[in-house]
Amino acid sequence: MAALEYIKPTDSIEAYNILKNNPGAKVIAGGTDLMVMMRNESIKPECIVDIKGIEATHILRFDENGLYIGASCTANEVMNFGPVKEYYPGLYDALKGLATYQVRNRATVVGNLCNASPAADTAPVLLAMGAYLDIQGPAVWQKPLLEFFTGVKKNSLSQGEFVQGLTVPRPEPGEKSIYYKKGRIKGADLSIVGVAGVFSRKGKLRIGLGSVYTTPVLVVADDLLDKDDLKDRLVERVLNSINPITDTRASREYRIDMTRYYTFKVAEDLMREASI
Amino acid sequence: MDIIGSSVHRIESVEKVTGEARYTHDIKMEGMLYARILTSPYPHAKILSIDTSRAKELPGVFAVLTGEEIPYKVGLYMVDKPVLAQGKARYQGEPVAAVAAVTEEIAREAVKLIRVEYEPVQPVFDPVEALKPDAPLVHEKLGEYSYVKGVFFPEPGTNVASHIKIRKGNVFEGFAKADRIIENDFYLPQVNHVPLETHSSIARWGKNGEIEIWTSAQSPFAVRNLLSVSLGISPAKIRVHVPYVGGGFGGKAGIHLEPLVACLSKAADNRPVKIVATREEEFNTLPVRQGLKAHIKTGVTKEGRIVAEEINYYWDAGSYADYGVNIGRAGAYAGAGPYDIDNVSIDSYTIYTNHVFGTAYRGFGHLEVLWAIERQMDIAAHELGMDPYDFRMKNLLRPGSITITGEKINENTGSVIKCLEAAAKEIGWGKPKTEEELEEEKNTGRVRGKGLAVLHKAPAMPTNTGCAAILKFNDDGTINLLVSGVDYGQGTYTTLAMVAAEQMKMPVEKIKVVYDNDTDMMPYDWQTVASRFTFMGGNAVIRAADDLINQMKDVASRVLRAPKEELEIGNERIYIKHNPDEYLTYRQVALGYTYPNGNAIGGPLIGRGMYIAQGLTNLDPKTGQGLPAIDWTYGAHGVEIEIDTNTGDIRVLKIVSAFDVGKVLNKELCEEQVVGGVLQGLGAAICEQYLYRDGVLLTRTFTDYKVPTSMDVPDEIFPIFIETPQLDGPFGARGVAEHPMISVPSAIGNAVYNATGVNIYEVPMTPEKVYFALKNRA
Amino acid sequence: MKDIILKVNGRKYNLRIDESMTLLKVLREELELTGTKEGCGEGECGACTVLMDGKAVNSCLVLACEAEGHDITTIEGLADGELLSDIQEAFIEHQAFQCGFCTPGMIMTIKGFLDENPNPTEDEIEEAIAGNLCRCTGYKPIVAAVKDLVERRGNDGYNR
Ligand code: FES
Ligand code: FES
Repeated sequence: MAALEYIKPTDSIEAYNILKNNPGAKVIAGGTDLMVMMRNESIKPECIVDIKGIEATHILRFDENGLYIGASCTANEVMNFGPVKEYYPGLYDALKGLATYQVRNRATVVGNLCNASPAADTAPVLLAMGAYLDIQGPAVWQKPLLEFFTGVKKNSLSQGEFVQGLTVPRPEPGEKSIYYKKGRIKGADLSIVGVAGVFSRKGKLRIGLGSVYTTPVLVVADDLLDKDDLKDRLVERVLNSINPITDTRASREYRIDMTRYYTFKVAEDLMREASI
Repeated sequence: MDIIGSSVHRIESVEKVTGEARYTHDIKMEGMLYARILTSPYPHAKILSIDTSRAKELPGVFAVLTGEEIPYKVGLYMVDKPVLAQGKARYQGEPVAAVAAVTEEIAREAVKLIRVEYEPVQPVFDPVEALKPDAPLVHEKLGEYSYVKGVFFPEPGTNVASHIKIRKGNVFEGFAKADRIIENDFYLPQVNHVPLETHSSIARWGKNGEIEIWTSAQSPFAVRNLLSVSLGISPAKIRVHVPYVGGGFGGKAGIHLEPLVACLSKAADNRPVKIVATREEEFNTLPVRQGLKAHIKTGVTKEGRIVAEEINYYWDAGSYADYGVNIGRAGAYAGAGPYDIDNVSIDSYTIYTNHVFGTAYRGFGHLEVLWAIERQMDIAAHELGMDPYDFRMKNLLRPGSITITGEKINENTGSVIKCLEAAAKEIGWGKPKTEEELEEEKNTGRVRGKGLAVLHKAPAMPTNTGCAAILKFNDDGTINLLVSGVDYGQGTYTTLAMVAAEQMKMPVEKIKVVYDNDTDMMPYDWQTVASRFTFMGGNAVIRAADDLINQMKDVASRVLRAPKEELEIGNERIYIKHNPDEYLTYRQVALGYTYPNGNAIGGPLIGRGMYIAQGLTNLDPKTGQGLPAIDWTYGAHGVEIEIDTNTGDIRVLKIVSAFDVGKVLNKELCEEQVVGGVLQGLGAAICEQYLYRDGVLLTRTFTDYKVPTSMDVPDEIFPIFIETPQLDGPFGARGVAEHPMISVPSAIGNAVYNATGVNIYEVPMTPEKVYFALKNRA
Repeated sequence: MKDIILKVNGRKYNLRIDESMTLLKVLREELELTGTKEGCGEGECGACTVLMDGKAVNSCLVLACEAEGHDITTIEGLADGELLSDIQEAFIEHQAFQCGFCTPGMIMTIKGFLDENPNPTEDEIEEAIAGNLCRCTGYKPIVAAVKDLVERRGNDGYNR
């Protein structure tokens, strides 16, 4: 048995250096995915770097730049953070349906993204909201979430890099967002499809999709807003952007039909809300 | 009767809410080793060689075993299951080798060092395919296995582990009388029991040749008996303890990991060895509920009478059928449902395949056959243009009816008709939807429907099943009750304490049911299965109480100088009927009565009682005629659901479940059985299923195999109890442990039709399945 | 191997553990607090739920090392001697268990949840315990116990 080392740095650069020099090292924040992968030995890290000791990863704030979520902020912390429900209802929906209550007390939003599962619940809505990541490398740099996902369970971080936090831009006045998730049961389940929508009359219509492609998908449809047959065109564009698989949870055909239904519903609900 | 029928909390409540209750999972012993297993990656493969040398060298490893070193077979009814695969593996997940080491981690590492060379051979997965003459054989040596002869009928040279036939009347003549013939196929996949505590066992094989076992099992004496037969050791040399058990549902009946850890202990310098199944192993290595394919042909008259029924049941027993053959048997003798039909022919085949093997699961084949039967009954009614309620009422068993095995139904058998009436009434059967409701359905795409289904089940057990109970006095007149059935939460111990208290006319708090189950100390009981423990255990306890009372009266009659016949008990006293002031207290006779001068009589009193199944017979091999059942519990569900036609989601708004339990012994516990059972039935109905790819199980974790959560419960579950006393039941009671989950899928399937006009033939009715059924309707 | 100090149920323990050990394993095997159960080992069943600084977490998903510096409460820490907590009493009153194997985890989730949300709706209760699988009870008695408890706490403001 390879021994495991556990390190809890208090400084981002220190953490970066450890990770950089240890190809066998893995970051732990919430650990809810990592622990499962370690248990079934799909990964065998030599070293665990716990970033919860880094103060900056605990920042959760809402200001003129938008919402900043540090890498150690748990799903429940974010969900219960007042401005989230008010300004980012779609993110709130996504967090509410993420795994179970106990898991949400550990799982972090950033971790949900870094794990890069096509089914990650927060990804569609954060893509639609135009979130971007603070990546700690030799220095901190920013990267749009859209460029982050590179394949099933693959992200674009290079050796040593880790995500320190993410920023969700401040919504435009009157902007609405929503997320629907279809699982096999009502209780905790991975999504069969997840459809997020962000809409503002000022010219924004974005759809984020989960579990229908190798990565979470963003569909930009700002240009459709003035069209009469907006919803039909939107659905068509969405269906052209996905390529779901058949697995134990659902068939490809069901995923396509559910994507169609929920995209339509998302568009309808957003516009109804916006007109109230 | 003031105790019987009331609600008494579980006697072990405090232990369970404080975490003090100790389960096998929690037990640790001095010098204990930990076992891990290596399982087959192939569903069907010859084992060419196994190299354990590197595993044996790993520091900390005490023993490594393969099938060759322990050539034992185990089995309850059909002795077909090796402790570790011998010569070939018959399912993906089958244990092929095992290790005992000082820590679980080392055992796991050692397992990885074992090299096995396999040669995959042609597998067979579909039970009907497995019947074909050229199908690969799962058990080439079926003809050499020992099994219970005259009860099961294996067909060597085929994959048929047992073929049970039921013949009543003449189906050819019956079909000739029919105005319509309805023929359908139904299917249910395998499912898992999902006890929250996975299987776990500890064994120590002593240097004196005696084996001691602690295990998470339903039936300590069955473990002892089967182990003794399999190893060729006297049961007197085997001692089985069963501590608290974290759920069984049939999956812990019979014998499972006990022989493996026993053999490992022997090989590991006689140190105790513990194994705890991982959740993956619980799904993939330990047994499951069998799958079923059913073909039913029903002949009906215009008036709605069923005149003939021909049924084929093909059970996917998986790779071993040691228990499964009896499910094939129970599914046959109960296989036409609680209906009065003159001409019936049933062929029930328990068939080997290369799937995970099957075993008992709550309902024991009845949920499965009643999925087929109760859907078929609805379909038949619709084809006749009849209301399914009226159609059933015309055909249900009633006093005077003869069952398909030739048993006559009488007034005290219990009444399925009353159950259906009650369920239909409470669910509001036949009430048409209002205009507004229909409008609302159109707008939302959410449509409502109601469904009904009936059920029946009797304990499936050997004709000579027995049970004994002991009551022994403590110094202060309190009583210890000893039985060896296991209470894994169903509350039977509490109920038995109530039975004893009622009979002894004393407070239930003064009866202590001893929780440590130990075959060396406890009186015999066959198995805790089949909803029989309350019935048989209850009868044994009543007799033990009567025996104790008789002994108390012996002593009292001498002390009070009154004939025994004139003594009465009550209020923890034995008194003279016509002069209640002349009495002895229980305490005074408990350990022997002492006169003022020091003389003593009597002695520590112990009451003993036993019960053995009465009048059961084996079934005729050709016709299935005979008496298989000590008591039939009947029931019916009425359900109202809402289907989201956009997604196929089913929401259960209300389910009403009525059972003729004879007599409610403990109201609260009875209701809890219903609520818990209904939810398990709902799981089987809407989300649970084993999925394989090329024989490799895909649903091996809770991520892939979904069970209902607190968010998936019906909005309302409404239990109803009918009390038609069972003359030979304790205070008139019958069992009701399994029944709540039976026919839940059928009731929901019938409601789907009622809501949408679409028939579903396969469970689970997942959103996807319902969605496409609706979509393809056009 | 690593030396850590764990604070469990108000007591401090010095432990030398393998870094890969989960909090669940340390609780059950090193501290012999076997009230916390393992039903899956991968965060899906909730049987292993304990409180970490008052929050319900799956102890199978927490490395013991990560738990250092935090207050851990297990089922064993709930009752005060023979005086049960009101949640435990409500569970008995409503017989919100059968086999009892899910019960410690279930109770700990409810404890953490009610401390955070003392006045939940029925939906919120069902949502909160959806990560605690129970195969025996059908959940109804558990939800009833919590609802009743919430009401009683509201009435006499007691919470122990
Ligand atoms: S054991 Fe931790 S969630 Fe199942
Ligand atoms: S009481 Fe048995 S699992 Fe919940």
